Amino acid sequence: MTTSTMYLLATAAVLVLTVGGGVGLAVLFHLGSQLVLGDGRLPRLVPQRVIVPTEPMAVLRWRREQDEERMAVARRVAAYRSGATVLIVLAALTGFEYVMNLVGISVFGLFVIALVKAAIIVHYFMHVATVFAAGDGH
Amino acid sequence: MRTFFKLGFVRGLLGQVLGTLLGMGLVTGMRAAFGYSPLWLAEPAWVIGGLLGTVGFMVGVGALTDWAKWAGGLATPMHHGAPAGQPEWTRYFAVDLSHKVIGVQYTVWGIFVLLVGGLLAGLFRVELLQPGMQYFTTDRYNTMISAHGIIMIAAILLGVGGMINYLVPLMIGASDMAFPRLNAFGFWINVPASLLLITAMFVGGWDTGWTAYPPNSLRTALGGPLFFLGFYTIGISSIVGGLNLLVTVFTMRPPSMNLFRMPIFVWAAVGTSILQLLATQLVGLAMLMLIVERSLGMGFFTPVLNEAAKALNSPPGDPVLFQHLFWFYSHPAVYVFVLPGLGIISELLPVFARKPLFGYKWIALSSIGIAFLGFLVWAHHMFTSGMSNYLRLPFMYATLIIAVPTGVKFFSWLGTLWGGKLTYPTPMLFVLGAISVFLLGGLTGPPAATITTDLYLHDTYWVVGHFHQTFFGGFMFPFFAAMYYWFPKVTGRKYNEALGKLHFWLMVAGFWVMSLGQIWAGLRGMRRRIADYDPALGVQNIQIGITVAAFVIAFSILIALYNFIVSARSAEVAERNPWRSRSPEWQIPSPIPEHSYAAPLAVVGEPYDYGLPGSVYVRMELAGAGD
Amino acid sequence: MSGSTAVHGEYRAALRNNRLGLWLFFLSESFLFIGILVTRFYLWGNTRPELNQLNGLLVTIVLLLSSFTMNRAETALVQNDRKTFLNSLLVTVVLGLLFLAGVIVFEWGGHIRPSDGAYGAVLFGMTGMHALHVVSGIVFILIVWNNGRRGLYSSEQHWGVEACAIWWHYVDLVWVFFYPALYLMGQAIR
Ligand code: HEM
Ligand SMILES: [Cu+2]
Repeated sequence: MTTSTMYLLATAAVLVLTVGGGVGLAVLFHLGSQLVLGDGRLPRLVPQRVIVPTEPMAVLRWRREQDEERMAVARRVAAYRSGATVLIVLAALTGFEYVMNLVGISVFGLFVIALVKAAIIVHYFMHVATVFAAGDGH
Repeated sequence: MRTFFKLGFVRGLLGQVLGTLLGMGLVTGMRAAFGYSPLWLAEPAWVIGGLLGTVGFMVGVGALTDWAKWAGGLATPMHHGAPAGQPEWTRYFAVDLSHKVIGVQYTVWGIFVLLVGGLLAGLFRVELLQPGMQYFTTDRYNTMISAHGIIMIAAILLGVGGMINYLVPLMIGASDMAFPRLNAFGFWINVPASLLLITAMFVGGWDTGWTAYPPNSLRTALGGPLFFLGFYTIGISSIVGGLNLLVTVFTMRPPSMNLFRMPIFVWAAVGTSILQLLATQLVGLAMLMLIVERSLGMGFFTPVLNEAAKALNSPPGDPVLFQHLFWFYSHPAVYVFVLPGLGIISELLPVFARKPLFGYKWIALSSIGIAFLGFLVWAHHMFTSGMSNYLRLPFMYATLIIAVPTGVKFFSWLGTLWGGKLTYPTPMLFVLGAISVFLLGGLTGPPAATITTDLYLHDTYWVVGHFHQTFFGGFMFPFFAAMYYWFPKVTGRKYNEALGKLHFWLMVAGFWVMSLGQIWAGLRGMRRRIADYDPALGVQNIQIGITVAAFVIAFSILIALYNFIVSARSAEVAERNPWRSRSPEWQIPSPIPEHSYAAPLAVVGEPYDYGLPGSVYVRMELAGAGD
Repeated sequence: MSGSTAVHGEYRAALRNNRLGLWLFFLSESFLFIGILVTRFYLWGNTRPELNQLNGLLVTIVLLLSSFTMNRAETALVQNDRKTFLNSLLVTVVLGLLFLAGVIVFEWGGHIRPSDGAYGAVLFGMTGMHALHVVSGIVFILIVWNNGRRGLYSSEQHWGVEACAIWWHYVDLVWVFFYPALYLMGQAIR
């Protein structure tokens, strides 16, 4: 094998690895974000065949069902997304806390960060406000 | 016989025995499996046995049944009345969800525990009649004073639980407590806990007093860990009881009863419950730390390092830490014991003075003020402990300041009495006795809170005198006042007034003699928790006086029990509202029907406007009228 | 018709009590954990033992993720998305077990033993008390999962799920303070 063939093969391998890896990562990331930020379902690779009814009343009903389903999904996505946002903020704060400690931060500073994290958890995850609501909510 | 074995109580006891054996077997079996020797190691076996025994009791009595059903997805409907197919009296020996039954259970078990504690006191008082050791070894003596302390505290907590559970839902017109199952759990867990405390005396005992200070508590005999476990378990009851009460008061009042129109006892109960809910965790933690330090060698409180710890450059443990954790609970705990009693005083005075309660708002807020300030004074028990010097002064001043809200209550009581049309049936006598005795306690506290004097008074009979005054003034006398006052309500019958008065005069006289004797002995240098004393101290006559007085008190309490038992069974039927009280529970029949109020309450006036013609506190709305 | 509204009203009253009660319990538990933190500062002062930082960060992230999945489970139930609800509960259990494994294998398996002075006592005391709560949370989740599988919760009435979720978040909340107190605050002593 000549040097130039080896060179070519190596270049190709690097290209395949980077591009493939990149695409792979992108797909993974996409799927992950679909899971976290989407409606919680893996996206279908092959779209489902939909059978549209032809009879006028059925069409109307079908449209309404479609709308309702789309709204439900939208609501669901929004709800899931807010949970994910909280997760990201908390993770960032944890990383921040860790890094700041390497840089050098006082005990007091660490406490403040912990308090902020706690406040976020209490408000967004534990819904503290429901305690004060007069028995409604879900 | 069948009925007997169907009683939850009996099943609970069986469960406790089985659980204890199971725990011991578990530990021994594990040791066998891992090839340790000797196979039998008493301490872990008893600790795990005690733990599983408590669980066994709760399973056996049926306090966990509904939760187990819930976990299994089964329906758990509320059950009212006696267990299916059993006579009515069996309710009181089984898990029952009605707050009225639970209140009676608390009270009766509390009195039983009180008698056990009193018996111990009687025994060790005899030992103190003369110098030298006559009847007991020093270890036995130490076990008895330690057990007397903690068992009496258990009894007081039970009595407090009894009054609160029975009265508060009635006073705020609620159908029951917010969490009836938790309520039953909170009562029943006291039973295995009390039994643990009693068992602890017989498996070696312990000699730390009720305060369990390390390092002594780390070395004391096997009774120690059982006592820690029993204390911890009683704490669980305090926490769930406090929680339940707070939710009940906050959410289950009728809309027309705003906070400042609640009966004053409810305020006291709220103050007590805040303390129980929050402070108890700390003593639980301290007890747990003692247990793990003993069994796993976790050196929280040991100032000595082993080789491995030295290699780590680890700092040592510290026994003073225990005192901080302990008193952070146990100082507020003294207000847990007395706030309900003080509430009873404020509740009954206007009834017997036929006058409005003087300064309702001030009394109400002083209960809450005491509850919060109570968190800030714990280190006045530690002036001689070797804690940091700079802590001493702030704690001294904070302690002296807490006398202010207590003083508020005093002045308001005096203001209520002033110019009232006083009558003196037994409950009123006990209320007045309580005030006099509590005043004494309030006077002996400040010298103990002042550093310079406390250096001499600490750990002497002065402190013993001080806290018996506060406990009798703040709990025992008001408790008996409440017993007599609500006796017609609970049983529907009259107690014997002459015996009641005899009880009072014996108890008040006995108590004053006992208490002044303790103060006096303390001033002469008599140490507390010491089985023997030097005749040269010159306290023998005082000790004899204390012992005789203690027996008078014990005798008077036996009279009361006789009175209660006989009257409850056969005395004349009481009229509906013998005290002409305005409180809602007196407007319904006695004994109270299963569902207390047939119709919701409507508050239309002030609770304590006694003597104001035409004023009303509550009205029962007719069913269907309004929404 | 009026019967069902009465039941609904009763449910709402009970829900209000339950929420208040659980939060009061949190308040009470906070005193326990504050007591433990106070012990840590009282005994360790401004120092801490040398611990495996990577392990600390990993278990913290795992617990945080579990809080997220728990929140997702509750949200899914409210959104009537039963599949996500049940699956997220199981994922939470797995993450909780991972956390426990991290604590037991790496934290407890290190060079420090419980009997090693204040370092050992407090390290095992803090992680042990917290781990006990994690275990209780896992049991709770499994119960709720089982009941959820049998369809006992609806998007409107599911106090059991809500209680389980906020209990789990509370356990995470405790770790938010315990993590820096164990791993970050003060100077590492070797
Ligand atoms: C509200 C009623 C009170 C109760 C139930 C109460 C109870 C107690 C108890 C049980 C002890 C002894 C603890 C022990 O070592 O076993 C004690 C000690 C003490 N009390 Fe009170 N007390 C009350 C009011 C006060 C007041 C008003 C003050 C001061 C203004 C006070 C100051 C002290 C001090 C300083 C000690 C520690 C004495 C020592 O050990 O040297 N107490 N109290
Ligand atoms: Cu005190």
